[in-house]
Amino acid sequence: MNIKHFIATYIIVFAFWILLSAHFDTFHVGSGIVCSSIVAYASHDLLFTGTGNHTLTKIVRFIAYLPWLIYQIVLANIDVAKRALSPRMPIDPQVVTFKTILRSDVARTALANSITLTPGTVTIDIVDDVFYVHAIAKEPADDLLEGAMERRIAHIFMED
Amino acid sequence: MSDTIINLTNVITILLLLVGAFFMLAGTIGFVRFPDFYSRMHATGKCDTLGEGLMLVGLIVYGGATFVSVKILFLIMFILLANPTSTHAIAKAAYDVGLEPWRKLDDRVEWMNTGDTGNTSNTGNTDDGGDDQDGGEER
Repeated sequence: MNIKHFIATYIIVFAFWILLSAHFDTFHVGSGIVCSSIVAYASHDLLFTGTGNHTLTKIVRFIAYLPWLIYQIVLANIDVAKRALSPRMPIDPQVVTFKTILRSDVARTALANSITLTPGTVTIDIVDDVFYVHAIAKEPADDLLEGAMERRIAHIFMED
Repeated sequence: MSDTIINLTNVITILLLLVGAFFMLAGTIGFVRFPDFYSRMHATGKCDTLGEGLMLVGLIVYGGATFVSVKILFLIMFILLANPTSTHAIAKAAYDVGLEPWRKLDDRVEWMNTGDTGNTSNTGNTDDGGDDQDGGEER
């Protein structure tokens, strides 16, 4: 058992407990201490896998990526709302595939979720290195295949 | 002065709730109108994320800096993470079962082959939602 990972997990879990309970009497803090130690003991090797390096840089870059993602989410919603409310309903669904350059599971998950949240595309499946993406029309599919988002994710997780 | 601040808070809250509700409504309309399963995932997967997110941000603005607001913030983060993941899980399940995505072109060809001459002039881009929906359901 890695004592550093245990203590780090313990602090995070206990801070989370305090935030959620919002009570500071002996009973609540005491049960928080007991529960946090059990949870931290059971899961200290899940939160910090100990394999990655530059974790802090990745976190900072990911936080810097969030505003752009939120902007894309807003665009996606306006796009879907337009298509749904327009009487002619300008959709032409198609499934596109592309090969990814990302290697780690976290990076692939981030890309898959980003694709789902950005305009006109939903990730269906990842088989080996190939993403299967359902696009609601031709333009979003072309935008996706151009690969700007994949490069951003690769930059965040230092895989470029 | 404090009245102005309270009014401003209320106005921002109401605006965020209304915009959130609008996106939820648009998503639901899209869910009903879109022709097949996968395009419906577009409507629900995206609009729910932003609609719920905006409404919860509105509640944070209304509540101010309290522990409840922090909990709502965690809710937003969870929705941002869980919504696309569940959309993906459902879409993957449908794809694995072998549900074919609806195609505009396929639809047109099939109508011609089955000799459905009822509305041949209507097979282009000018389909209304009802026809598309029926086509999707049969697939």
